[in-house]
Amino acid sequence: MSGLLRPREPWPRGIEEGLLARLSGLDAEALLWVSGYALALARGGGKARSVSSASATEASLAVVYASQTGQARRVAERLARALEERGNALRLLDAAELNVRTLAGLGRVFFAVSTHGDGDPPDAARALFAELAKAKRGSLARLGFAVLALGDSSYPRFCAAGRWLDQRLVELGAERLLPLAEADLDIERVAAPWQDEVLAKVASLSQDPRPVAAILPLPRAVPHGREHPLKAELLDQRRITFGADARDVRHLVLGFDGDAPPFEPGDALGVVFAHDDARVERVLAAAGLRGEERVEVQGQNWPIARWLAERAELTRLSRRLVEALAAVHQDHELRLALEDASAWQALVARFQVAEALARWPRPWTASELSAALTPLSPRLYSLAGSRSEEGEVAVLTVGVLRTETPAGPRTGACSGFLAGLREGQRLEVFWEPNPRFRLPEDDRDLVMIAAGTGIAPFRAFLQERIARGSRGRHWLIYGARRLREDFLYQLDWLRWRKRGALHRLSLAFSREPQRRAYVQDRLREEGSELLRWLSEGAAIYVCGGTAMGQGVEAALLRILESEGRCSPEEARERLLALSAEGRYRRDLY
Amino acid sequence: MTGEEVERIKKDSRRLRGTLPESLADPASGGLAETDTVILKFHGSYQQDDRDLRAARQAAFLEPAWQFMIRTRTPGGVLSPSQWLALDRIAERHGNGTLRLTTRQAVQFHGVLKGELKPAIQALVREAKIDTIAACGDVNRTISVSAGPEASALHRETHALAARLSEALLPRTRAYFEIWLDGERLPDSGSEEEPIYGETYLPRKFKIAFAVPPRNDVEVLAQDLGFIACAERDALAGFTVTVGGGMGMTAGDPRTYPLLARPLGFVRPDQVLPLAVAVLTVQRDFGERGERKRARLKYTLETMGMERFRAEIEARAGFALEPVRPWRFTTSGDAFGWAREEGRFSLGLWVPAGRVADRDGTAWRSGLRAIAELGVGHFRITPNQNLRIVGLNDQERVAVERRVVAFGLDVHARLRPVLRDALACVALPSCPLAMAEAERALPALSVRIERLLEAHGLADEAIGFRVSGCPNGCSRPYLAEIALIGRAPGRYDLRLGGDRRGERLNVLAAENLELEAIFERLDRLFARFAQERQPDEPFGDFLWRTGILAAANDSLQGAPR
Ligand SMILES: Cc1cc2nc3c(=O)[nH]c(=O)nc-3n(C[C@H](O)[C@H](O)[C@H](O)COP(=O)(O)OP(=O)(O)OC[C@H]3O[C@@H](n4cnc5c(N)ncnc54)[C@H](O)[C@@H]3O)c2cc1C
Ligand SMILES: Cc1cc2nc3c(=O)[nH]c(=O)nc-3n(C[C@H](O)[C@H](O)[C@H](O)COP(=O)(O)O)c2cc1C
Ligand code: SF4
Repeated sequence: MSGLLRPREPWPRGIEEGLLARLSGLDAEALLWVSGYALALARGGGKARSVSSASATEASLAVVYASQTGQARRVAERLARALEERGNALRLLDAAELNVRTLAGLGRVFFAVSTHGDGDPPDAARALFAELAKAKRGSLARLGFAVLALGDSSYPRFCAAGRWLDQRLVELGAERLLPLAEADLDIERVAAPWQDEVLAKVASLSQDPRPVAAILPLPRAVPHGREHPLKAELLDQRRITFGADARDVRHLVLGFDGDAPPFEPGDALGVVFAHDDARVERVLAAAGLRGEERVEVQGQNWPIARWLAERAELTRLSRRLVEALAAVHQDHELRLALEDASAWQALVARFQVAEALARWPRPWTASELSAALTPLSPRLYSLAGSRSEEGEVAVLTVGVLRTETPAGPRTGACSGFLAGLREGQRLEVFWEPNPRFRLPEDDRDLVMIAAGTGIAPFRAFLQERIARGSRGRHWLIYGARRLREDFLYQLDWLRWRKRGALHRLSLAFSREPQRRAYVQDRLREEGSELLRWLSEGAAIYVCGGTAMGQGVEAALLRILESEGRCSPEEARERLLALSAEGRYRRDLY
Repeated sequence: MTGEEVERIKKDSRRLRGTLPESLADPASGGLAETDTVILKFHGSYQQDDRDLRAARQAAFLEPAWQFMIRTRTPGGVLSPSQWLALDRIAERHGNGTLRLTTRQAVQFHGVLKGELKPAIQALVREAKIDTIAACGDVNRTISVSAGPEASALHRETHALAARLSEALLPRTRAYFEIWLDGERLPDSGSEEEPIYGETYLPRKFKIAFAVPPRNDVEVLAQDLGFIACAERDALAGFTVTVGGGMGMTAGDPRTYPLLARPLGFVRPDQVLPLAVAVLTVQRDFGERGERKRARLKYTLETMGMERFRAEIEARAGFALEPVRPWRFTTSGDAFGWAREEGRFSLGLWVPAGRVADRDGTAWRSGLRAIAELGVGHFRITPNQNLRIVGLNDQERVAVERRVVAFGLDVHARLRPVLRDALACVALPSCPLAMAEAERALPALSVRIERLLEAHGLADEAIGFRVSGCPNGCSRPYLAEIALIGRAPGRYDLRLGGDRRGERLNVLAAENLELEAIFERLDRLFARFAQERQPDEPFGDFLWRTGILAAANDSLQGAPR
């Protein structure tokens, strides 16, 4: 144990043999509980209560988050702190740690749930959702709850996971304490009032606000997340794909003033960016605004041009904007998009904000426009290198979105911004921990499945595993377009294969003339080998686009069914079990 | 790779199989495992990469743009029109859309991707009835034969003999059929008897050529084993045998140098095969195997001495060699335009650096395709990377001529002799050994030389000019009157003093110079040449007569430094 972690002297005699020795056997949840208990104890003046009276099951209040990229978790953490400050005992839990039985025992639960994939719950909550779907009516009769759903209205199935949970809990007999709240990307607009309602509700419900030890999230040593941007400098940026029609993918290396934040392979880096002048100009022109009109947003006064550049989503359409357009235009396409998921998808794919404003013109005031747009969310990029290999820098692999349209090129807001940066330029980034997608603690075998830029975290994984001298085996299943053009980091993978660090390499190229294939095809072909790896304890990691992730999952289920000779139901169970064990992890975007 | 490594790879290859099937099937790389790149050569293909892209791809974490060159085994370079059409299709379908005619009278396909290798070879064998076995590698390579136009009856017989010899000297392994043609694996697969080669084949490549005087277009003295045809009353009497020629050297290693072959004796046509087997197996048993750059027959011969060598050959061949008969060569160049061979018409066509392509406004590929589509006569690749169309009657001649003109293939008539007779190897971007440009730079370099000549009133002077991308010397630069040998991008060794009959080696005149410095020197030499030459004296001869090239450099020994 490092010296820093020792309590300052004098510490109680025998603490290492007694208390600390026992801790070593506990799992993460238990450790968290103990630390939270100790923290609350310390804050309360160190007076010991009997542990049983502060035991987890006794807490009548819980805040549960189901989060993929950390937003829902942050909302939940803040709510937990606010409740705790008002003297409530509570547990703060990741949905991954719950099943229907433990949920039933929680009393009153406030959920923050985001939606991912194609209207799916975050991976960490999939097991719980699956169990809820099968649970018997009345099994949650003693539960009271409220749900804050997080989502993005540019997706066809807005807040689908939260909506489903809210509905399902009622069906299972739970009592809805507050109506469902749905937060779009401007989360605060809905989350802040929701938190106030929760606090009021809890206050009105609790007759006995007796303070007990609460489980508190430990403050992190290093501030992270979008509220804590760091200054970084672009040290290197180069294109790493070849060929005229190959996707433009860049390898970026960012340096920090001082050490890099203590991120680990699997974590992501958020990039704070602004739109370029041309894009803002197009929006202003299409809206008939000059740019110096002022708007008041969340207590701050801006010229609209600056607000658009720095704070507004201009590439992804928001629902509110489309509603505002539909209110003026009796347009079939707009109306259909608001009603039908796939029509919505098509609309979003075809129009960025400026294009939509131009296509369906109407008079806009600056404040109408600002109200119709969602706030700009920073984009996340997986770390593509490990500190052990790359040093105190962040390596990113960025696919530059660019499509040619009759109206000119349509670029991704952030990827276009990054591609335009030159070496030596500075930018703001933040560290986004992703504990769900880190390497396993042990040396177990890894099956890494990716397409496109999804390969980034796996490069970091292998670098890290090699540096650690891990004995686990590694299997990369990767999809790209063409061998000669976009097999990202090919030289690394070939080198690792040659030196025996990469034990199996399966590739699928979707645009090779003779053998078009996707990763799902490879998976199916090599299904029995996959089962062999699984039976030897391997963990499966999947990273890349959402559609690929869904295809991979369907293929995995088919393999479990046919090779493992079980029913579709059982296959699903097995996958959920793997997920619960941390042996099936996904990072999809 | 050291000689020992290569020897081990050959020995462990299970008769040239190695792990080629696995390498070909590996989807993660466009290349082969390193050991298989050695084996592949014996199958008539080289792994290369586009060197123009190498650095940029490396920076992008991508392997080199691996691609393959496939070389045909076409003894004497004779092709029927339908074979030509098949080659043309294969270049389009599986290669980079061009054909490259080589100084060994082979056709090369460049830019073939790994996944196209097998389909290309299958198409060659099935559609063109041409294989690529032993077109590269440490075995007897494609056999060259003078391409005419003179003495065509001699040519016909000599060519038939060369084709039979080529067959007889093929390795016996069935690896080729198994790997490329999905041939069946038999119980002895991997341990087939190799009576001529043994399990490690030859120490190094082995080149055989047949020259039909007075034309020495094959440059027979540059070959490991040469046969100079000898006619008696217009019939083939036999061949004077020459041994131990070779062009390659390694820059900076004085133990390596180009050498002219030496006459060994005379054989009758029916003695050609046993003689060739004897020479091949002596080289197999006595050749250097530790150091590849010293492994050619020319060094074996030096080490053994001519007398011991001859005795060993005669013992193995089972007959005594007759005394050498004299020969006379008048040129190593090609004839262009129409000629008569055995009462039929033939046409010599110039092909720029042997590259059959439709590029830069030229139409060599489509023009030659159009001629092949007439289905008349035969194609004959010359050792100077040009093409002859032979065996035409009067009507056919008219049809061919019409297409030649229509596609603009008659430029030979308008060319100055320097460019017309110039040779260049492939070099950049595809040859992995290239240190400087050759084929791509040849037109510009030739034109520069022509301009200099023009300035001294020598505009129509024929001067043999050759460029190689490295000292390996694939364009036989060591026999040229003026040769540039690549040492670094834009830098060359300048060699001077060959003749135009392929019978005298040139010598190193200046080492590792920038092009401008080379042209300056040539300019000064041309000035003297214009002033001091004797009537009709060739440039190379002039350089020696006037003592510009020092006699200290014994031309027969090349220019070891
Ligand atoms: C955890 C995580 C890790 C990630 N890691 C990486 C990584 O390693 N490498 C990487 O390249 N990316 C990664 N991403 C994705 C990345 O964050 C950005 O989403 C991506 O770069 C696109 O952002 P953009 O601003 O360039 O494009 P945007 O401006 O957001 O979008 C560009 C275009 O896409 C279309 N579009 C947008 N939304 C939709 C929609 N819902 N339906 C249809 N079309 C739509 C629109 O036409 C739009 O014009 C990751 C994402 C997450 C969540
Ligand atoms: C790959 C991906 C897919 C998403 N799919 C949906 C969706 O189908 N519906 C939706 O409402 N929001 C969707 N979102 C938006 C997220 O729910 C939203 O960004 C939320 O704030 C994320 O919260 P979290 O960080 O707690 O996971 C998606 C986001 C990502 C990155
Ligand atoms: S001479 Fe050198 S550069 Fe030219 S083809 Fe031969 S090996 Fe390549």
